[in-house]
Amino acid sequence: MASLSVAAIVVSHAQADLLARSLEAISQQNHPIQQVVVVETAGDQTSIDLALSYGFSVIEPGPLRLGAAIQAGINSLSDTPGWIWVLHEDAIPEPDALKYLSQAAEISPSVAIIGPKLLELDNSIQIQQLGLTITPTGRPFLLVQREYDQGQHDRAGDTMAVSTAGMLVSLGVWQQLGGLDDTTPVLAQDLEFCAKARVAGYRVIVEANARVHHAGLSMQGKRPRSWLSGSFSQGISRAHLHFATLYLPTFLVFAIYLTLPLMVLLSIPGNLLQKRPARSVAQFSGWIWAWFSVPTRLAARKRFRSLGSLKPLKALIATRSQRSKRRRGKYEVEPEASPESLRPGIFRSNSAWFVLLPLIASIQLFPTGAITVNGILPLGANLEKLLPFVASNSIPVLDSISLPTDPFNWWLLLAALLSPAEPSLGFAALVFAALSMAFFGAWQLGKLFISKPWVITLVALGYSLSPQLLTLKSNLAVVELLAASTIPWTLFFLIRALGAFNSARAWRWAGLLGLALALIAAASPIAFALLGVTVLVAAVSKPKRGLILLWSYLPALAVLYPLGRFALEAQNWSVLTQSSAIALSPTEPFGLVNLVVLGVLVLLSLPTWFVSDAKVNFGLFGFAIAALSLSVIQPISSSAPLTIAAALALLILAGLANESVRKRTISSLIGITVTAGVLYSGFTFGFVNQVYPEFKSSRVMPALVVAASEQDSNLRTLVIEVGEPLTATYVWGSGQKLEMSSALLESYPAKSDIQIALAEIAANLVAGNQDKLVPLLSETRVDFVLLATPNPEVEVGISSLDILQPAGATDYGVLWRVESENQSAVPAIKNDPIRPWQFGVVAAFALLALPTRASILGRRRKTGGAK
Amino acid sequence: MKIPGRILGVVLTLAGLAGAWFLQGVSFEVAQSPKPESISVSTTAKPLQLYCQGPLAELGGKDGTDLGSMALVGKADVRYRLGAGSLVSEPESRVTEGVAIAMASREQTTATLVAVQSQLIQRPRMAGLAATNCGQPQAEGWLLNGMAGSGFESILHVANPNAVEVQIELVFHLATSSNSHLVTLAPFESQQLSLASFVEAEPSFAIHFQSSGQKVSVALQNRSSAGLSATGVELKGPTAKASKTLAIPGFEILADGLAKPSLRIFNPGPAAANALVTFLGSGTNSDVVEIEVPATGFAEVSPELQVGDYLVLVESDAELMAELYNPYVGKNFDFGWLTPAEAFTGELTVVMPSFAAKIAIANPSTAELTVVLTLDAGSQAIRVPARSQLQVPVIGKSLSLESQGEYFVNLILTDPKGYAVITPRENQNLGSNIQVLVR
Repeated sequence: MASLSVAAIVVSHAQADLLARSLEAISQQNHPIQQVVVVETAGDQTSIDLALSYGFSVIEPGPLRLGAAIQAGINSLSDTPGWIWVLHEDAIPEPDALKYLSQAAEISPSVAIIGPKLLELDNSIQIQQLGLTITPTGRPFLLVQREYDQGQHDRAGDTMAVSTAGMLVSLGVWQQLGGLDDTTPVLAQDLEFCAKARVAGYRVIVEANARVHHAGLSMQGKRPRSWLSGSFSQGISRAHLHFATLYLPTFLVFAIYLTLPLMVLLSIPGNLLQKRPARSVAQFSGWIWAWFSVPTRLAARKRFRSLGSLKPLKALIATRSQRSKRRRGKYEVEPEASPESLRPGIFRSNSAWFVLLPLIASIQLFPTGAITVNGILPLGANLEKLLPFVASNSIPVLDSISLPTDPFNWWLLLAALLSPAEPSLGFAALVFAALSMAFFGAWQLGKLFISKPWVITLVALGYSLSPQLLTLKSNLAVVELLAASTIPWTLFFLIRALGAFNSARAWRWAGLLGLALALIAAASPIAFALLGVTVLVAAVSKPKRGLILLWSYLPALAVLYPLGRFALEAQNWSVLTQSSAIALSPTEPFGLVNLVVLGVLVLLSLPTWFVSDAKVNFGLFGFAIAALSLSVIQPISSSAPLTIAAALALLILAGLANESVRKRTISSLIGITVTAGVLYSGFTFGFVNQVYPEFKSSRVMPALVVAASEQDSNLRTLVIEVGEPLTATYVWGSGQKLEMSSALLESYPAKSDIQIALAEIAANLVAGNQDKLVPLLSETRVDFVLLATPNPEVEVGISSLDILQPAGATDYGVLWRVESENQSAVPAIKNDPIRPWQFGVVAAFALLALPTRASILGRRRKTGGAK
Repeated sequence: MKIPGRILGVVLTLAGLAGAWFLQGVSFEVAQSPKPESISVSTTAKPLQLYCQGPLAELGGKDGTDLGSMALVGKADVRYRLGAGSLVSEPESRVTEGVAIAMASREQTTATLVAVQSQLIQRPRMAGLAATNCGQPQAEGWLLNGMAGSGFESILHVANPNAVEVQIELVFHLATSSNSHLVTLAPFESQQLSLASFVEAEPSFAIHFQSSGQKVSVALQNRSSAGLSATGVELKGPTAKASKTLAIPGFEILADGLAKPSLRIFNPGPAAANALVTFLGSGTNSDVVEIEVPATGFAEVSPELQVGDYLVLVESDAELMAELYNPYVGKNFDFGWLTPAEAFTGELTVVMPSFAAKIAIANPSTAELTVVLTLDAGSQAIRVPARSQLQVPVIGKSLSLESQGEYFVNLILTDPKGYAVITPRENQNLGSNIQVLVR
């Protein structure tokens, strides 16, 4: 029987379309409603007219918050009802909703608040909410979420709280509790109100038979940001902190407030691993908000606790099993059925065996020591020695020169992480594996476009054994080789990020993309420019994932930051292209080999315009043309990676064209011809005229110097090379290593006051003049003298000096130890305060890239909706 | 997409590729990197020290029958010229043993100190003129003009002009093998070493010496005989450093029809090298010989040349050393070894022994060269055409040469009883204007 007097308060905020559906649903309720009041807080005339058309009361109280808006609605009621039914304009109740809610209220007199079963508006079989509670730390917790409604929860039951959307509340209790507190974060208002009712001795229940379809605009971030005072994550974070303040014991509350910064910091890795980086931002803003609103929170706590004991709440807090069930539920999605996921992978198709070909082509590079050819120096003795020179803004030349170390040092760091005890070996292994990396990358990329494994394999082999890539390998142009081997992976990550079906997956691919872009930037900034533009175009073309994609620039920008800062200071932007002292100098982009290879690929790929998707054609041809144009225009660094990138795009297009050839004979003929071409290229460019890597130990100075530098890290050696002119090199510690070099040193030669003293020391050494040497040596620190070029005349001259103690002939030259006490202070390297942030950014992306439950579970999902 | 759209795609693609091709003409200016500058440093050089080996050594006594006997015979004339500076030690003009001349000076050149020694000897077993430059002691060096076998005898003069003991490692490079020998010299000690036991009667051999400590003075004495007749003697210091281009000025055919000159080329490197030898005749024909010089081995060139004087140029793709054997017939027989000359620019001072002398000035470059020759009698500008040499008779105690260009010089001494060629060397210790590039 409909004995309950109910008035409905509909809070609307300029969502006329939804309001129309809501009002229509209200008008069709089976339970009589004493009065319906629409509270339009945005003053939207369409909404007002709509409400009036239904004959409902309308008020325009102005931009009030939810609590005040409902209260305004209550105040405007002509008769005082026993109950009020609170609705939002995005809540569309089923015709029986109010009837079931009323029945529940009539059955249990102790019940003061009743909530309906909230269902997704767009997917009416999925439950959106069925009661609210909190975790033990006070975080809002939905008891049921994203479950299909199979009647499994259709029992009226007690809960800590219900949403205000569709909430039926006793007007007396509402007035007793003072309604919703608008000083409370929006997402905690319903929770706090219901918890207050509980503490005051009332019951709060969910009536599952009452069904309300709810768009959940707030939760989906479709409300204006001012509604939640930020994003949904920020709203949740604030709600969490607020409710923790209300609920937790005093000492814990103070402890939490004091340790908030630490907790925010410590939670960053976890958030990254869960692929929810936005949560860290929300937590950070929550911390700031909490600290600046402590009095308000404490006042709310006082009001809350004055209502009674909190004991009734404890039984209603989310249990461990409820929490773990919900965590599991997050990753339960349907299998993916996208075209590329149905294609056999590189291992399933046995194509992985073809990696042996690039490996064979690289056999001469099998790592047995440090590569020491083409100016490549060994790397630091271990990770600890190498690390200080990554992203450093000064190099150990003379008394430390303010020049950024090479961005390529990030590759060296990767090598050191692969082999911490022998980074040189790790670097040699990277170089050895470069062609194989290129093969796998090209295969994965090819699979996104081409369906036949043998064609994909040909594309991957065509790339990894292309004359351009093999020439880099054979000439040991390691910087460009590594850049080129990373390009297919970068494009692969980009496309996967673009097509990811959820944000966790997108963040994971964006993490990988960010790292790949950083590696490209570290080896070839000009190739990074090309790929950066590609990422931008991709982001614009798919705005849904675009914002996430744009974050992937961060690691590359962190890698290039020292160069960028230097370029700004020196007003010389060309330095931004100088990645390494061992990088190739500019080459002719349209040499004969490039012309032949690119010409053939263009001919093979042009038919794709008639057989493939236009988007793919525009994308890949556009990428190839952009790469070639950039390779021609820029005269500063090697264009090899750009030319190879263009070849990659054309190869994939050629693969697409070949795949579409219907006649098996022609297709096979093309395949055989391409195979022959690849094998010819592999032999001609992979084996003929190879530069031998000259593997050596990673020691670059005599053992005595290295041992002494272990004892005294400030040790300095003066290395003299006899020639015209005489060369004196002031070497730090255990010697000049690759990570200590800077490509900028050529453009900005080192200048220091110490040079004069060192020149005089060198001149007096070769002249065998000891008188001037002693004061000079005390001016600047020289612990050892090494005559690197054999010259008996000079050797005899140096040997005649009493101040030098002969330390024998070594593989590196003749060595003497300086016997004087060097008192001069050695300047320390000062690092940029931004440096830790550079590492932080890269580490954050490494965490994002790590495959975790968030990105692996739910990997497969049906596209185009469930079937 | 419809066919026209696809055709448009093809056209756009080709246009894009053509555009990339045409972009080749566009280029940005890139600032050139500055070259690192060296710093010029001057310091006090060590006192300039020259060493004259002293008289020739005779093995086996006057008759050659005194086994184990090795004695210095006669006296050597030492002539020197002093420039500005303070003389540390001054020698006598005729010496019976090796002697050092030292001078402290800031600016060191041949104008500061230069010396030569000569000895005309006429003994039953040894006759001829031996004259050589008194050079600076060296830490290491090569002697190429070893002569062994029938009718030849080589004696090595080694001296330690320092106050500390030194050890010298001698390595004898023979045609097919090499062997080494260590010599220890007490302070200021000198030794003469018969090489017969080390060189296995090889007609050609090279000696490399290297001191373990202080610099030493080394010279090679060669004697030839025919039957019981002495046919020449010679004393020569270390040869010029290995180079890809060598110039030997002052070569004359002096024993036409009786004995043949011979150019000895040595390749100290680990790989065989090709040498192009050019005998540039002055007023006569020239000759060019191409020869391969094996790694750590010798090649001999015996040119068939007409009587006349020649500038000998040796050019190669590797660094080589060379010495030219030149027999002489006057009243007596004699011979001389011509050493590649050092390239000089600026001023050079040469001291002349008291024999008839000619200065051979060579200009192997492709441009004419003017050299100012100053003698006691006065100065004279001499124009040396490109790729040629001039021989100018000189009289006096010393001469000086000066030129803006690069020139090569040998001093030719002739006497009815003998023949010798002195190759001047720069006398300098490192000290002034040392260019140092500091990194």
